[in-house]
Amino acid sequence: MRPTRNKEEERKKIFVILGGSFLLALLFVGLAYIEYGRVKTVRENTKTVESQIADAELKRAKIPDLEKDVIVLRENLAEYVKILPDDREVNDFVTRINHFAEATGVVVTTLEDVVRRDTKKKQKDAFERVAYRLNLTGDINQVLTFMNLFETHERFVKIPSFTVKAGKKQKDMSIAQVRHEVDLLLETFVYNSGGSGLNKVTIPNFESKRDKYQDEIFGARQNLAIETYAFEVNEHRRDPFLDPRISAADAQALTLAQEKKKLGELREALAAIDAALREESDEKDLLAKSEMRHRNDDSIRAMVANVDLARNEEWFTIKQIREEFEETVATPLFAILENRNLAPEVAPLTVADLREVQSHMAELFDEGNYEEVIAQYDGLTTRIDPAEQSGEFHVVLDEVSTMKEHAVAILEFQERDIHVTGIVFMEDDSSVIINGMVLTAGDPVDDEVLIAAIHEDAIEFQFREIRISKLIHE
Amino acid sequence: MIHINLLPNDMRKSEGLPLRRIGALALGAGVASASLMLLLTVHFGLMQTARGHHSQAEQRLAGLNPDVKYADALSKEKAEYKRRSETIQTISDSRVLWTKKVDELFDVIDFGEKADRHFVWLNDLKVSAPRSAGGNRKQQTGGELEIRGFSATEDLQKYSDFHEDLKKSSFFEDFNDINDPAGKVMSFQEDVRPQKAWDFNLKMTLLAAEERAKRAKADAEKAKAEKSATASDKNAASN
Repeated sequence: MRPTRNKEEERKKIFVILGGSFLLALLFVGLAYIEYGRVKTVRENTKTVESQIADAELKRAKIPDLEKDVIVLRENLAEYVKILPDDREVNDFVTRINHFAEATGVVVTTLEDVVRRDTKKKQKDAFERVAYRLNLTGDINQVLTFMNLFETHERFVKIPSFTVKAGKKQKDMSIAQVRHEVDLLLETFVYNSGGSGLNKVTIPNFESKRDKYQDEIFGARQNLAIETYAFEVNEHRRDPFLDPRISAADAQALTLAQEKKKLGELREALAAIDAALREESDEKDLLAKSEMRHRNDDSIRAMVANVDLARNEEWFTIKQIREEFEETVATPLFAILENRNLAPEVAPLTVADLREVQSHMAELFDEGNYEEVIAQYDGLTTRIDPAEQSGEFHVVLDEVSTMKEHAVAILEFQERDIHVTGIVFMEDDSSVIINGMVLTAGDPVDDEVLIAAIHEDAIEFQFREIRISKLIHE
Repeated sequence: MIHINLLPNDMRKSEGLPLRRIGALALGAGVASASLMLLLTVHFGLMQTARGHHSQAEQRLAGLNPDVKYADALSKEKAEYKRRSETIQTISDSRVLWTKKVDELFDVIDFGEKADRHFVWLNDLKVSAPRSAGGNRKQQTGGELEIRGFSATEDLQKYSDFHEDLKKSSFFEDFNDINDPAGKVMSFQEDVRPQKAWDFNLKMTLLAAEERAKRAKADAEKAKAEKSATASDKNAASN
């Protein structure tokens, strides 16, 4: 029995040893497992911190850009808010209103502080609204100029709403005295650089960084321009708030005055044409005369068109004025028209035409038909195009003009009282008796005529730079 | 088979620990030692390393904290300045230059009269500020302009021409819409010429400030482009 029991005991001991050992091992493994769990937690925490580090590094990398953005915004906002009034200017706003009213002539009748500023409030908003409601009177140009002074003011002022009520013209009032009633809201904002929500960060080396980002600051600032409009009074525009109609009696008076004025204008135009025609008639230079003629013909045609319009559109409704118009304007004008024979437009003269006329004039000249030479020349004046630039044309024209001048001179010479009553012809010392005077070659007959040469059968006279021969037997 | 040891105890061969027990002890000690080693490795190896890394990371983060705070403060300041810039831009964009608008309106009246298209005079002109549509909804319009007046004569065409001229003018470019011509013919008691006129009331809605700002910007860009095109044309011509 004993060995069996020993074996049993041995088995028990082994079991205890193994059991104890495994239990111990299990404990250690358990502890190791728990510890590993803690390691994992520490590792996860480390990962979180590392991700925070990554974020932090990202933020740190962005610092230069952020600094730039803040500097640009700071500088631009500082510049931009200069358009807004500061505290002192807001306090002077009423004085400003008064100055503008005095400058424009509007009369401010009421002034109401619509938004009362709380100057004692510590935590102010960045932009504090300031508004005044005004009632004023003035003519429309005064009112618009007054409003425009605020809209072009160096500090931002806005007109969010307004009304204009047309003033009533009383019987004893002139139009200039009518005042419109205006209700106007003026609004602006004061900038509180501190204001709630802003903590200015101290940027290291701010000045040097600001200088570095000047281009960016300026580039961003260009987008912040504020539009203005400079109103200018238009004296030729009526006030649209005034009833422009006139009374029936005034309308009649106005019609009479207007028709008289219109008739006066037409008469003046006709008188101007008369004067121009006289000037044209006195002009000696053919080209200048031709230019004048063209100009005058145009004026006459324009005047005729105007007179036709006056007749067709019945400009003159008052009988007396209408008769006066016909008598003093229409009839004389159409007489001029008839004299000028303006109806057909004459084709401009060509060089060939001019040469043909010149040839014909020379024939007439040789025949002694000087009147016709002059008539031919005068006929040319209506046909000469002043714009004609051809050199040949001008040469021929000069020759024709000279021929006409000669014809005129000869005719005038013929009209002079020159009687030749005797002649003593010798080879070198001839003399002649003219108007009872014994004269030799080179002697003057009168102020304009002198004896150029004495021939056997004729005497040559010098008259206005041309030589005219007079046969002795004439 | 049964073995019986008849030797006295002191004569018997000493037995010692039985082999099995030794084996069990060795196995038990081995398992226990291995697990102890595991525990020690986890505790002194992994844990210490992890703690070391964590501590380093904490120190690094702590070193970055001032920069983070600086960057956060800058971001906050930037956001505030941006908000203020936008506010001032909104304030600026919301301004309508009413002297310009009224001047343009008067030009329409004046030119129409000189061209004998219409003959208009006004009784009232009312400009209302934009009304908030309520809640956080954006304002849909930039305000309203209302004119009340008369269009002489009883000829409806003249009134219609005035309405048309208004719509075609530069004055109307900043407006969204206008009501159709409506009204009634008034016969005035006073002895005036003309004696009859259309009594009208026209309401116009201004474009929203953002739209006006966009349009102004587009106009400015267009003008700039035209200017540079003209300049390049001139250069080309001079070359």
